[in-house]
Amino acid sequence: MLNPNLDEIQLNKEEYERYSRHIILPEVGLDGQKRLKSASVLCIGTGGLGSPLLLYLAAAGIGRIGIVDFDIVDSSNLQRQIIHGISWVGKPKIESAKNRIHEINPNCQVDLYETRLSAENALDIIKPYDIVVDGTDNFPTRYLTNDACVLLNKPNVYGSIFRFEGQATVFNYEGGPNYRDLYPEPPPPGMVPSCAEGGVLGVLPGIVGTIQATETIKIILGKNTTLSGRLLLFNALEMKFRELKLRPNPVRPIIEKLIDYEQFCGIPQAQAAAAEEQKTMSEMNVQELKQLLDSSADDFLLIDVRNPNEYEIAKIPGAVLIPLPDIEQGPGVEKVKNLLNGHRLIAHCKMGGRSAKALSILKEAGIEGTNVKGGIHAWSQEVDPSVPEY
Amino acid sequence: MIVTVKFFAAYQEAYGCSEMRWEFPDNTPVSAVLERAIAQYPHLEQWRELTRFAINLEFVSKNALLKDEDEVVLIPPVSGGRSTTDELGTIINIGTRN
Repeated sequence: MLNPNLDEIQLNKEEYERYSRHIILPEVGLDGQKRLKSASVLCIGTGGLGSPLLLYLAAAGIGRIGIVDFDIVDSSNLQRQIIHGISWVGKPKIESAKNRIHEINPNCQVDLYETRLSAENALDIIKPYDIVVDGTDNFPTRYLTNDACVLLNKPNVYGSIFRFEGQATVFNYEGGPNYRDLYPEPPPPGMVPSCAEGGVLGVLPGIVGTIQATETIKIILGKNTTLSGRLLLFNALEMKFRELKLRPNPVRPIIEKLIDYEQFCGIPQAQAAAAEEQKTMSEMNVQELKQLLDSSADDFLLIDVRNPNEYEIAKIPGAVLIPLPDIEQGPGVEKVKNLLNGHRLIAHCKMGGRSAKALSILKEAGIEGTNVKGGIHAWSQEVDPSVPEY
Repeated sequence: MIVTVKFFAAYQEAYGCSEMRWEFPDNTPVSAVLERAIAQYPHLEQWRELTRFAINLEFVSKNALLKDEDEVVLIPPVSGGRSTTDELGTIINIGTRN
């Protein structure tokens, strides 16, 4: 709990030694260390942000840590999700995190929730904790976490990353603003690239996650110098920090209960639209593409709509690179028109999503084409294993 | 009147830089900065309703008027943080992501 009766909390000899650098720090001291010991923090997500923040919270001596995640450790996580090691690839992230936390600090009680946070379970999961730390990567969970924290009156320590940029703040703390004061409405699905599409500098979530850990510890210590009311913006490429003052929106809608956040974020609608589009879109699989490439046919144009750096990593022979952003912005459409010359158009990307989007834009411009199902990922798995997967 | 425009996320990608100096007539609202960006890069239209504005490090409404030497920030929402191989990530990115 926050603000516990400090007389009732004792540290043992091992804890005095372990936390001595905290205890001799006047701003923490013995009382602060007791506050940390009696505090409980729920971390939603054990990815890029959750990894460093869990490590530091455990090391700092937080008494009880809850972790919500349903994902499995993947080798592409290791570039930034530093709580997980190679021996945990293929295993649940929450188990990996608990193991590592206990390696650092066996005094820390760790509660695991191997589930996706939902409107049905969020209040029950969050309720027994003093503070929530948001380390998720999607809008439905961000709004859900925010609204649940508002309903339960819990501080929500927020962090977010994109390529070289990070944001951090403290929401819903002592009357301060919450996420809906920053962004009342979510963006439509698919508009915001994930780390998989957008890429992220591995150390960036490390910085933002440790900022979140710092804010969490300050809330527990009762320091009134948190980021509440300030949105911290960080650019790792320029190594610049800026902060924007954020106030509660006087006309913000009152949050009365949790809603269907996937619906709110337009996800079922987007799925239906994508399914509808897929029905009308011409497709081919990678074997069919291989046969076509091996034949002497020269009446087709194969375009690759990935980014140039992805094209450098791996390519399908004969594919012409026309990145999706060029098609979205117009010049790419002209380029396809010039190259097509009455031939059949075939498009691929990494897994088929971006090429489908490219083809729907081209269709509006009067050019119909065929999408390669599974993209170069399927090509590498089913046709040519020498093409690297990334 | 000249203002400094700071770009984040999608805006920074479109312009390939983090700031520019733009000239506007007096009494121009901050939303004109967004309108100019959309006019130059029409695909930014999708961010119109979601972008927040700040002038001199303070969030403001889209109607706030610019003054000479103001620093304007355009910030769209970003969401990254956790792994992206999860079920939800796949759903969210149907049709757009690989």
